[in-house]
Amino acid sequence: MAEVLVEVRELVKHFPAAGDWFAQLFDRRVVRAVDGVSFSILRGETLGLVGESGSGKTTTGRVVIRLLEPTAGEVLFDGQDLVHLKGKRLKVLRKRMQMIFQDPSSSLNRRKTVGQIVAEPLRIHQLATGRGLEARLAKVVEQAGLSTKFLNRYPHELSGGQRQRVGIARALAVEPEFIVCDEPVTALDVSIQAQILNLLMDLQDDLGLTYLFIAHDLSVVRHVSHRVAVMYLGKIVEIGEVDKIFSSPRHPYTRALLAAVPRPDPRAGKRQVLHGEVPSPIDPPPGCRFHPRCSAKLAGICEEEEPRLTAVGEGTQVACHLYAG
Amino acid sequence: MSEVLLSIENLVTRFYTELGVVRAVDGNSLQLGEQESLGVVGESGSGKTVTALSVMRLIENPGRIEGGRILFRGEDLLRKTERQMRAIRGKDIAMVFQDSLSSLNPTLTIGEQICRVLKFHLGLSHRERWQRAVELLAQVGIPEPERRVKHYPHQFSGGMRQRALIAMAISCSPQLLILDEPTTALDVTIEAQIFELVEGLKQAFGMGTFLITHDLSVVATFCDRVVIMYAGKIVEEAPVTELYDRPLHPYTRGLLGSIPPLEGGKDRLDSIPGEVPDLINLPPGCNFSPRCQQAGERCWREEPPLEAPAPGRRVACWKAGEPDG
Repeated sequence: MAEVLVEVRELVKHFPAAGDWFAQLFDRRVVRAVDGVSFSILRGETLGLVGESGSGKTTTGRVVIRLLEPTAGEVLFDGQDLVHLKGKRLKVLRKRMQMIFQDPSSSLNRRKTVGQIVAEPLRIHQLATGRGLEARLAKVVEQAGLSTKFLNRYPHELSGGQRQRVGIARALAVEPEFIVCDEPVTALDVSIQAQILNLLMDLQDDLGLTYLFIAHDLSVVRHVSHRVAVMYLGKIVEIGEVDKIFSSPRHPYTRALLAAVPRPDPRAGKRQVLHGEVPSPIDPPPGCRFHPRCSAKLAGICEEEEPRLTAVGEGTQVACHLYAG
Repeated sequence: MSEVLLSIENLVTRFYTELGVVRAVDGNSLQLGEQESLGVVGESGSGKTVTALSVMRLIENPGRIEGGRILFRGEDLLRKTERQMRAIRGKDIAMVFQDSLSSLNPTLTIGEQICRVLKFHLGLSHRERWQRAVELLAQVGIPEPERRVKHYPHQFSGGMRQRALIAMAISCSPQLLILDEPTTALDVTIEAQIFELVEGLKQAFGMGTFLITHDLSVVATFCDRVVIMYAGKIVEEAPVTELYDRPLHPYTRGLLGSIPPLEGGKDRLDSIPGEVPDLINLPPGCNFSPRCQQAGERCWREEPPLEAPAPGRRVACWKAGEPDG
């Protein structure tokens, strides 16, 4: 069995609900964006993280590579405690992890050329200069499927798909082991989406990359992931092998989510509709957070007791009272 | 097909920019029957939104509608004065836009905005208007409509705002409802809710719907007939089941192959190589030829006409129906 590269234990991230320090004097409420999440990612695998807006999936991704400081919990990267590292040792570890963002237009500096953008991480980590730098730039840009003539262009001269390739090249520049992909194809056209997904999967095969792949599109997550975690209101409700979760989802939320996905088939029949909306993470429902929308709710228990993530066989874990004991 | 509700004939809409003439819609014809659901599918720059805006006569400088006719119940909308159009917009033909936040006025309550539409088109007394606004919000499934009618757009969630926009659009019982990517910014569960709502309203009001989307899965579940657009031109049209069973245009096949199946089992997506062409410098011959795997000599030279190979079907391709490479 492959070794664990990233391990997340009881991760918590709360944000103040009020905007600035002054408003916070009067409003002490907190947004429980991520509220006790644990998972691990094996070297060379893709863990998909799905959920609706407000589920905490993006915050989880950012805390995992410490773009945000966690409120509590542990993140172990290759056995080292990422949360408490400082200075040089943190920087050394940071070189091994990168991120690809959703919106390639706002995540690239529009005053810099593609070459300067991709060179920046190399400069920060002092990995290459002069000739070596040029050769390295040419290599990563080509790995991302762009020709070297793009190195002198500015982001506004590129299409959305090309910009996302620049974002990928920038992430690849420092030869990371682990990449957090945050909705990397959401902003792209369908035909370009497929190109980028194929590219990310080829890069994983060629370079042995490990991905945390965050997306709300279930078909996309199904396609790229080995394992998948479903989040709802700051908690993981179900986690396991992608084939198992998609063919026999256990948690009522996972089932509802899958039933809502439209199929490219006019005979697929009506979509099942999950009613209501995700409640506010400032004041999440007591007990199981999904109980107000759940069709399989058990009287007396689901409103009161929070279900724990429990193994239900075939490597799947579910947090639901239906599967307890 | 039932009575024709909308008939677009040889529509040409161009934008005169500093960089050159953008051929956004290039001589397209299509029809929509009463109570029919038409899906117009394409990627960015395909001309789908410009087609809808042309119908609404909302093309602004530097854009111009340069040719063709748009017959709505037999009357040419392009010959109407602006004053006549105002009486039609929002009453006989209503449109719901993609971005609900920017299409609502942030300084007015939802109720005030609905009442403005009611006052302009139907008159009604102050009291009747507010009563009607509450009824409309209830009709689109907004809980506690008496309270919500006094709220501002920022107090609504994305899904609720989209419902409020739909309430406004149906306030004067239009015969044609244009939906421009109505759920693109929303989660799947909310998307399913919105389409369930529109489906019900369609039945109740007997409206024709014109759905603009990039998502072939949404079209499969909602539309009767589909038009595929590419770079300003219609490339294929078919009844919904036939399009998915037997797509004729290589572009349509490419789009269908780009969708990752929810059931899994596909190692690689059949992406379409390259990018959407620049509408200022369109390639000679077929617009899709530079990206087409099947393109031959004739495709690079001559533009294929939109022909009808079978009743209800149209396709513009020299090699229509030939199996892939």
